[in-house]
Amino acid sequence: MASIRLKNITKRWGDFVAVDNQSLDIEDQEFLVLLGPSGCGKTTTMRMIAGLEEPTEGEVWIGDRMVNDELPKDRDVAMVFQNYGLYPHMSVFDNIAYPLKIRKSAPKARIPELVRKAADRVELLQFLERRPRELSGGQRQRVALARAIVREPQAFLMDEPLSNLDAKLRVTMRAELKHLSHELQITTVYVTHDQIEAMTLADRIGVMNDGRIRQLGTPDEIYNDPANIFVADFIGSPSMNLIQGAVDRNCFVTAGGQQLTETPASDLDRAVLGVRAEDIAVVRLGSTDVDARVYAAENTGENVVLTLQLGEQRITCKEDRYLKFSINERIGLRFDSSKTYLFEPDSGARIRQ
Amino acid sequence: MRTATRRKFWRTVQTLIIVIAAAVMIVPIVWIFMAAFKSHVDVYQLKLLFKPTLANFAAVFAEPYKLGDKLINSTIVATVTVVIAIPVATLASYSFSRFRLRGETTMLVMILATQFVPAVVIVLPFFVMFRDVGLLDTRTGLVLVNLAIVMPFAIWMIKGFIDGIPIDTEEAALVDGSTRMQVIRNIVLPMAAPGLITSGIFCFIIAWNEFLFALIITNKDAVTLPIGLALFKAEEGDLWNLLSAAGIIIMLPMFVLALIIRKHFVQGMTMGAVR
Repeated sequence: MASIRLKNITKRWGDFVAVDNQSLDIEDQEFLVLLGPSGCGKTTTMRMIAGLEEPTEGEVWIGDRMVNDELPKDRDVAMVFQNYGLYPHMSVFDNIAYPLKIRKSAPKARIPELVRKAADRVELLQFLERRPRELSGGQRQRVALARAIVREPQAFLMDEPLSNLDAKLRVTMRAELKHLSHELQITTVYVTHDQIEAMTLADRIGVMNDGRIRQLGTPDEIYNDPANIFVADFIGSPSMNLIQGAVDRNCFVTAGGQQLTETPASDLDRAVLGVRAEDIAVVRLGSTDVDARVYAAENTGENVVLTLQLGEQRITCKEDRYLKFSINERIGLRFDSSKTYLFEPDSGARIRQ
Repeated sequence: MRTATRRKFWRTVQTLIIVIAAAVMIVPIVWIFMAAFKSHVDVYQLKLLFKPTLANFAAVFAEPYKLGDKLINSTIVATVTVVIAIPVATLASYSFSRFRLRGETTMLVMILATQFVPAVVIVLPFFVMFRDVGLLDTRTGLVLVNLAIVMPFAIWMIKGFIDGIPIDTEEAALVDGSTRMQVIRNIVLPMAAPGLITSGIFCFIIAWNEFLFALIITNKDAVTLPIGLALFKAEEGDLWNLLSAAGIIIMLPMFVLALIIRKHFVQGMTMGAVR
């Protein structure tokens, strides 16, 4: 077990910058999730830790070793791949035993015991003699996990390990992963584009875009205290409403002239107000200064998702599932100023007061 | 009713075309097969009932034809060609498939381009070069020529098979603790085995049937089977019964190999490695 440190890591292919001068400290035993849209550099970052990709600039440290020049085999990390990367010509037993055999890290006589122990952890004991092609997707993913945990590596690297599974299995496996990581207490870097996976599994999340980590923090911080428009927009479903407007005498005013909410910020000609769908309350028309027209009302079973026409802009809000709305109905809205976020429209940076 | 009739008509036409196509390919082989067991006098008669004899096979192995020597030459040349070509081509294909090389596409195209040059154009330069270095009429010379012929083919073919192996599987092996050579030995070779066998057999067939270069650069010691056939042109005309017997001997290994390829060719390549 070890900490992982990236010092000013850059990865370029020709003119394309995949990872841009990024530093990152991952603590010992931490579960860190790199979250971002596809092409944001999260997988490249992980592959540089594994040694499958060479950084153009910067240093990778595992524990107290600088590993830039070490081969993947010498870095002592275990990796789980999106497509599992199983050895199709070997049985499940041989797949799990492969790292032990090739590293000669355990005495030969102990290998069967260790393999069985790892297989037991992921409930694969009855499949040890099968070939990967005879297993379901979830079982194959568990073989990949068992192969990672059969030895005690310095760190686990997981590259979208659940994204090939169907939705139901993904939820089950997510819980298993959470349980497993709690039991094993090994430093883990986990790459995903699924924010639910990130929120549920992570000790800390690094939200990445364009080769940079845009915010690094606990799931709570990422969700409740976004540092910029990108993070605010990327996290949450439906994504956060971003309303264009201005700040005038401690009040956020939309482009259409509606006064939405108070804000401690000083006057600004242009500003963006972020507010989550669940933090907007529908009230009787006329009881607040804000009114909107229902554009669409969708009942998801869990709640009603409203798309509202607010002046020139459309916003979404989530309301109690028992409320009924009809299209073009006019309703009043109340914004809770403690649950709104103000952003700089050009740089996307959060404006804090 | 009308559609049923029409469908029946087309079905008949299809069958007819298939029968004709099959006949075009099979009839000569059947003819050779029968001629090989006929006596000299029966060869020119198209009768299906005749007294079969093995005398032709005995004759082709005896003096003056001594087909046995040619059989040994052909076997050695084709085998050595395959034994050298497949490992070398495998390493080349692996590099082309897995590493970004400078001028990779150009190299691959150049390798392929060697196949565009008609053999007749380069056979004389080869003759002159081989004469100067003393490789005329040697098996070594033939192996070299055959390697030049099969290598581009083998590299392209094996590259196709290696491209089909998911890169994740190899990277998993690297992280699990393998060196690059261990990855090739433990992961790539077993997974590419059906492809390597298929390519090996194709190369063997090409080397076995190679005619033009063997005709020009051998004359006595290193003569191969296809050239050996020319021996059966006698003053009294072509000795069809002996030619046919020799033909059978050339075709038989090809037939067996074709059966093996068929089995391996349909075998799945990735076998559940991903998804």
